Amino acid sequence: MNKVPVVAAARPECERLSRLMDGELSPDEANRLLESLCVDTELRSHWAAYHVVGDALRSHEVAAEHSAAFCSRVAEAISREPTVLAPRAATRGLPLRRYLAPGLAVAASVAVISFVAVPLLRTTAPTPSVQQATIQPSIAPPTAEEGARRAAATVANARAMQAYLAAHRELTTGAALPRATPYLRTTTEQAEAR
Amino acid sequence: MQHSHLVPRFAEALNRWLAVLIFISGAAVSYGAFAQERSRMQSAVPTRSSLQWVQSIQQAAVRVNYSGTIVYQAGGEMRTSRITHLFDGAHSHERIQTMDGKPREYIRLRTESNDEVRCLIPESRRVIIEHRAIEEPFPGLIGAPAEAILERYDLKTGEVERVAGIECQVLLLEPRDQLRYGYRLCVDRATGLLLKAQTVGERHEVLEQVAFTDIRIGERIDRSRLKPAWATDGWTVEKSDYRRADLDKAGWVVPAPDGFSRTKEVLRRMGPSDAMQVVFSDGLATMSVFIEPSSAGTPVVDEVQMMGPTAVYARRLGEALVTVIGEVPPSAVRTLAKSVEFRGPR
Repeated sequence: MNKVPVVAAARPECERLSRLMDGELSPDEANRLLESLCVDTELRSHWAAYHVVGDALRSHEVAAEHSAAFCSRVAEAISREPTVLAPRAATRGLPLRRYLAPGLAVAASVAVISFVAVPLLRTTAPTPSVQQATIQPSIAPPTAEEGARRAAATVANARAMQAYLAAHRELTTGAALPRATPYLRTTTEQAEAR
Repeated sequence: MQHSHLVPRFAEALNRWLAVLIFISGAAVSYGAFAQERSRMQSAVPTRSSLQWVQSIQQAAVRVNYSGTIVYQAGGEMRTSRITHLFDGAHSHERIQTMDGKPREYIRLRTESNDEVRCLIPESRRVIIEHRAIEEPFPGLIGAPAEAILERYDLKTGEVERVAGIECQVLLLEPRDQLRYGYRLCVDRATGLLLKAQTVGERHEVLEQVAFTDIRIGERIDRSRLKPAWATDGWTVEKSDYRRADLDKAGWVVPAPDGFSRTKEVLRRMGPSDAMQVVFSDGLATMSVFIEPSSAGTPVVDEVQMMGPTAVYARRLGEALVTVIGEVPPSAVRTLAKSVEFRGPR
């Protein structure tokens, strides 16, 4: 409680941080800030400090400043857990709720990303004729929520698909006719990823 | 005194002559074999059955000497590499250098019992050794017995074209079902070496293509040309090994699509967790199935997505995510994903 870093409004991001916590940022701004949070450790420590402050204001009992190593230890422990590759029995309740749960704010911000990502995705994957031919239009025009969900999926997929493609090509010796530049591209990517 | 000198000198000379004689006869025999091989192939020009065409592509890629430039193109992507291939009568040696992107070299050695590729990565001074198995890279291309290929594809001969300055016979491999694309090939009529291959979509559009832009066939290849450009002394050598997975044991049922066979089954790291990967191949087309625990928030869209010639479809099954990816028509990845079942571990 006593070790809260002195934040001072030295950085303009700090002011935005608190607005983010209050849900006052536009999706666009929130998105940019979240991105810098991912890379900026100083900003992350401010973020943690703000939460401690917020907690302290609400109740002395919940306020506690954890060691920064705590989070990384938990993350590490989770990554060491053996992976169970079997589906569990279907959970009760609407599975859909899980996707919608994060709320519209997040969904909307993701939708913004997707406006950027979707065209990018298209340029890396041309042959539009195939795309049109293959992607069946859904029966009803998608609702806003459905749209946001799809957008989120697209963003997640863009990243995941590259990984799948690399893994697939690696084992098929670089299918996609990199039978052309044979085995190759894949091995290369795998090697570089290390 | 002099006499005793002469005897060893004579023996020495005799030895030298013998060595030269053996060398010459060896060279003559191997040249004869080569010439015979070449003429045998040339005499086969006029008529080849479908089976012979496919076999000639496969054999020529291994048994013919060639060197040239290969260009691969799909969508907006284009890659160039140089290939040098030597068949020494028993083994096939191949060196591939990438001409764009980061410098890489791939040294491949094929014997009757082994097929090994060393990948050289100069900037990190590493060599990765892989044992290839599934798919044949261009210009071999066809990684299954010719009979099996012709059960799934109809072979039609087209007109004669010219690729890389060489007259070649157009061959069309038309799929007999919706599970694979077609291929349009152009094959050197003399040797059977594949000079160009195009993957053709359902509406006859070219999805990707690879071709020689220049090539020398049947030339004498000095072994020095097969040596990598970098001396690899002191480089780290790694083997790319995969952990084996057993889907059946884990309770997963992944039926092979018609005409495809299960070629690999591994456990690998995908993002934060492990995934099981199964690879299916029909000798030309391949599909991978990934099964992994799905992170709770990951949404899945019921849509096949295309990345150039590659189709991807993901589906949630209980708490698992099943993703199918392959150079096959979109309906094929979807069908395969839908056929996956979980029956519980045995």
